[in-house]
Order: sequence, then C-alpha cells, then structure tokens
Amino acid sequence: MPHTKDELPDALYSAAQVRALDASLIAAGTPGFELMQRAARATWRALARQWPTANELSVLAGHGNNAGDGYLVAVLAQRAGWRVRVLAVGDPQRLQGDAALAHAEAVSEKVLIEPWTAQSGLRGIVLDALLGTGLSGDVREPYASAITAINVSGLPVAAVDIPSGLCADTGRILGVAVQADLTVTFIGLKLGLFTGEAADVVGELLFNDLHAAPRLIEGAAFTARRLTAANLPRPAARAPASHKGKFGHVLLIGGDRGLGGAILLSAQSALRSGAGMVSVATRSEHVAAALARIPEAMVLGTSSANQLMDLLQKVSVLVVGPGLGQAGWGRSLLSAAANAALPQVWDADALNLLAEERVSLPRDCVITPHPGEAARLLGMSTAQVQADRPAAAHALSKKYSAVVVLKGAGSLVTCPDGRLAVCHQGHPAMATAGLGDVLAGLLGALLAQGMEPFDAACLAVWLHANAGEQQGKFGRGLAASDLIPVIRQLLEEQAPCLK
Amino acid sequence: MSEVTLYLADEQAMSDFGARIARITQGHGLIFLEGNLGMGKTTLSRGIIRGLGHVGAVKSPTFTLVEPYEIGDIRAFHFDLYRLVDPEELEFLGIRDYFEDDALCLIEWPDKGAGFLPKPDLTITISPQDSGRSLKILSQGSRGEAWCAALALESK
Repeated sequence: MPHTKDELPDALYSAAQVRALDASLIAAGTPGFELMQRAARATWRALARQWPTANELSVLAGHGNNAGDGYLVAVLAQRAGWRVRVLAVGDPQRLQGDAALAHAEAVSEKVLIEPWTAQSGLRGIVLDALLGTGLSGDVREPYASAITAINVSGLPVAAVDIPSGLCADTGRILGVAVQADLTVTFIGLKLGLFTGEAADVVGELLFNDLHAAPRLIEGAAFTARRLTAANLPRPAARAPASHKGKFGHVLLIGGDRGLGGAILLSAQSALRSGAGMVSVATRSEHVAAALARIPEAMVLGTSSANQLMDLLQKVSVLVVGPGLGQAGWGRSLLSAAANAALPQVWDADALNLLAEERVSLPRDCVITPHPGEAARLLGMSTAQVQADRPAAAHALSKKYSAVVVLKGAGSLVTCPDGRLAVCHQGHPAMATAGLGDVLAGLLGALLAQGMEPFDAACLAVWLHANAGEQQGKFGRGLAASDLIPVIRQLLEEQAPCLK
Repeated sequence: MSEVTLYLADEQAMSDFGARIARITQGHGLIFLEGNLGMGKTTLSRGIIRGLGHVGAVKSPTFTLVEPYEIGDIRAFHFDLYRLVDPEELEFLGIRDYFEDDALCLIEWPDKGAGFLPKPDLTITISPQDSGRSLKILSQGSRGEAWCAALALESK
C-alpha cells in the first residue's frame, strides 16, 4: 500500500543497507524480477493517482535496475491507454539481469523505445528512471544533460526510488539532480532522502515496502531514525503535588553588548518549555529590559566570571552562547561554565570559542551548531560539512563526546554511542534570526526536567521544527518569539503535564 | 438467480468445458472465476479463449493484471487480480473501458476487486472433488440464466 508522508517507517538506511535488504528479500524467496514488478506497480499507482488525467508519459531510462522499474511502468501506463515513450539514455542492449527482462517485456508490449538525445522533446508526465541509489561520484554525461533536460521541461516529474543525482547516503546533489514533484521509494527509506539538499528535489515522498516480510525488515541494520510524533522521547508527566524545585533551574549565559535579545529569547523559551526556574546572566545594561520582558526570571547583571560562581552552585543546567560574543566578557563567562560539572547546552558563540580551542567542552553536553559552526569545529569548509552531514555530525559527537544537533534543513541529532536521528520537518520561513536561541533555551528546559541529553535533543528539534512548520504557514516574517507559544502547546500535546 | 453444479474429471475436461462456454457466450459477458490457487481457473480461461478461436499462447496476466485478446471481431480480456494490492488500482487500469462494448471479460480472483467490478453474468466456483473438480455455476440476470440453462442442458 502506498504511504502518505505520515505513514513512512521510522528507520532510515544507507544505500548499502537497502541493497542488503533487497538481497535478503530475494534470498527469502521473492525473485528480483518480482520485486521489480511490484516496484513498477507501486510507481504506476502513484502516477495514476497523482495525475489521473495526464494520459501521456515520457520515461527516461538509464542502465540499472532503476531503468528496469521504468520500462515496467511504461508497460503498465501503455496498458492503461496512456501514450508512452521510453527515452533510453545509453544503449538498452547494455541492460543486465532483471532490467534486461523488463526491457524485453516493454519490447514485447510494443512500447515505443527511442534513444535519448538533446533534441528529444519531453511530453506529459516525466518518469525519472535514470540513476538509482548506487551513484557515488558526480553525475556524468549524458546523464547530466538528460537531468537538466528534465528540469527545464517544466513538466510534472516523478522519480523512481530516488531523484537521479541525489546521494542516497548524504542527501547531497552530485553535480545535478532531478527536481521531482513525487518520489516513490522502495523497501527501505534512504537517509539521503531526508537531509542535506533532499528537500529541494524529492517532492512528495511515497514509500512502498514491496511486501517485504516484517521479520526481514525488523532484523535489518539501519543508519538513523526519523523523528516522528509516534516515536518521540518524552519527559515524564508531573505528579499532582509537584513543586518548582523538581523541574530544574536553568541558567542562561550570554547577551554581550549589542546582542542582548538572543539570551532573552533563550530564557523565554526555557521558561515557556517547563523549566522550574530560570536565571539569566547577562550584561548589566540588559537587566532592566530582561526584567520587563520576563519578570519570572532571575536576572543577574554580570561583568565577570567571578560573579557567576555562587549561582553555578545553585542551578542544574546551563545554556551558554546566545549573544555571548567572542570578546573577553564572553570568553570569561564561558570558561566559568566550562569548569562547572553541570549538564550544558552550548550554542552560537560558545561554539566559535570552542573552535578556537580557548576552552574545552565538559563531557555529556549538547552542542547545537549550524553548518558554519560545525565546519569551524571540524576545521573544514561549510561545503564539506553539507556534503556529508551525517558524517560531520558523527565526527563532532566523537570529537567532543557530546550530543550534537546539526541544524539546517534535515536537522540531525547524534550521540557518541552512534545513534542518529533525523528531523526532516521545518519550513523555509524558519531561515531567520533568533531561531537557534529559542532551540537552545528549549533544550535547556528539557534537560532541566530530567531528560537524557540525546532524548532532550530529539524532542527539542522535533518541537522546534513542527512549531516552525505551523508558524511558517503564515509566510515570511516569522519572528523567533512566535515559536515559543506554539512549542508550549506542542509539548503539552505530546507530553501532557498531567497524565 | 440459478445454480448448476457439475463434475469435471481432468484438465482436458476443464478445457473442453471452456470451449462450451466460448460457444454459448459468443465472446460476450462478464464471468467471475473463483477457487483457490491450483484449482484450474487459468486452465478454464485458456479453454474459453482458445474456444473463441485464439491460436497461440494464453499467458497468465500476473504482472499487468489483464491480458487482451482480439480474435476476429471478438474482444476478450483475461484478468488475474490475485496481486491487486488495492481495488483502486483497477481504476488506473482503465477498467471501465474494458466493460464497454460487452467484450468477454474473464476475471480470476474477483473478490480482490470488490466494489470496482460490475455484477457478473456468471460466477464459476471451482473446488476439488475426488480426483477432479466440482464447478458451481451461479447466474445473475436473464442472459446469465439462459447461459446457465444451456450449460446445464449440455451437461446432462
């Protein structure tokens, strides 16, 4: 059965893991050609449902099993009375195994098969059956030109298994990729469909397990989990006789001159996400504004680290970095935090100072870099981070023994033990200032309420992305503070205060 | 609605019976073929299609779900819905077109397409009996009744 987005399974696989799954299905008795037929039927159902009146299909077929799927979809579409043309990129005689059988089926059904050239016009719905999950290096000619031809056609495009040119492991575009309106993927979800540049090219994603036996799927190795409302970690419900001391005391440190708003956003977010008590250590100039905006918080005007020492004895969680700056003031406060044996969230300038190796991160903290900060921490370029986000996040977790939230489209959460969670929700309207400050405060509040760092990071990222999705519907001009009441509401929906 | 039950001893008898259905229906109507895997639904279908005059292979339409035949003026469609995942898929086959013009439509596993198929003229249910097969033929509508009666008469 086709799945809508909410019905996608949780497990995400590498291309190699999906190949292993495929092999295990075949070993368990389902011939590869039968799987190919099922894939074709699933794709055809999706096409016919999405574009019921199109009546015309152009299939671009490559050389691999992806092409085999394409030839069989062509057969089904022609049987249903659509006008069908397969444009073969390269020589169909080079097809092997099941793909060759599929080609033979299309030939025996008298499907029109022509070699693709730059002059081939595309018509109707375009089915991308060019390149599958085996692609690793950059897309070569003539595939690159065929992909470009699809993209400039302006026609509706569906991709078989993965848009051609998208890396199944990393979500990187390998030079050029098909921009699909719909992708029908099989057997196991590929990690690369959910992070990096995937959101720009995948379109609507449908999944079909090709009737794989659940026991085969359950036993298979996977790379990551998708964060969904169904599998979120949650803080415990609150006992009726709870008091504020049970839900932690978050101290937020930051807000150098000119950056006071950042730490206030974090503090407000922490307060509104259920922290028992909230303290803010910021520049004295910001105290009045902070108290006016958040009278619930205790606000300490701080000119040096010494003034923090007493407070560090009393609090349970630190959030350090929003608006911290990289000058002496920020460095001094950060070094005080770095020597406190408390669960901590490091964000923004705390990470820039960490990259300069001016301080070291205590163990078991959560860091929340965006790709640029991650690049500085790893001593590489932002492009290198984005080229393999999962690897970058794992490397950071290992380097700092920390839970890492790698922000950006398809946010990743990694743990030093190797776990990886992916949040593929969000909204382009979230590309605005202050969003990270809200996330840091939220994370601090969840840690203060007793969640484990990895769990807290997963829940925080999901809440933040879903709040952003809700507010993003109102379009550009999203303000970071708009998220805070929505996060509160979503947190209550997912983890009610009282059971 | 009427019902006839008959006994067919072997595969040859099944094929011959198919040829009689071909003769009686003259290549029109909607026939459901029910019975478990291996009961001979495809053998019966082959008998019917060959009985209409088709020479050459009658292959099981497992992937495409439907195999069309054009035999002179006669149009016949052989469906095998065993692998239908969702009855909605029949819509994507353009199934309505098949039932126009009163072509002969043979449908194996019709229950998989429940809700998307019209009422049949005949429903033939095949089950094991001794070393052969028992066929229960159920008719709906006047044409089906007439065919059923003719089949019963010939079987006496």
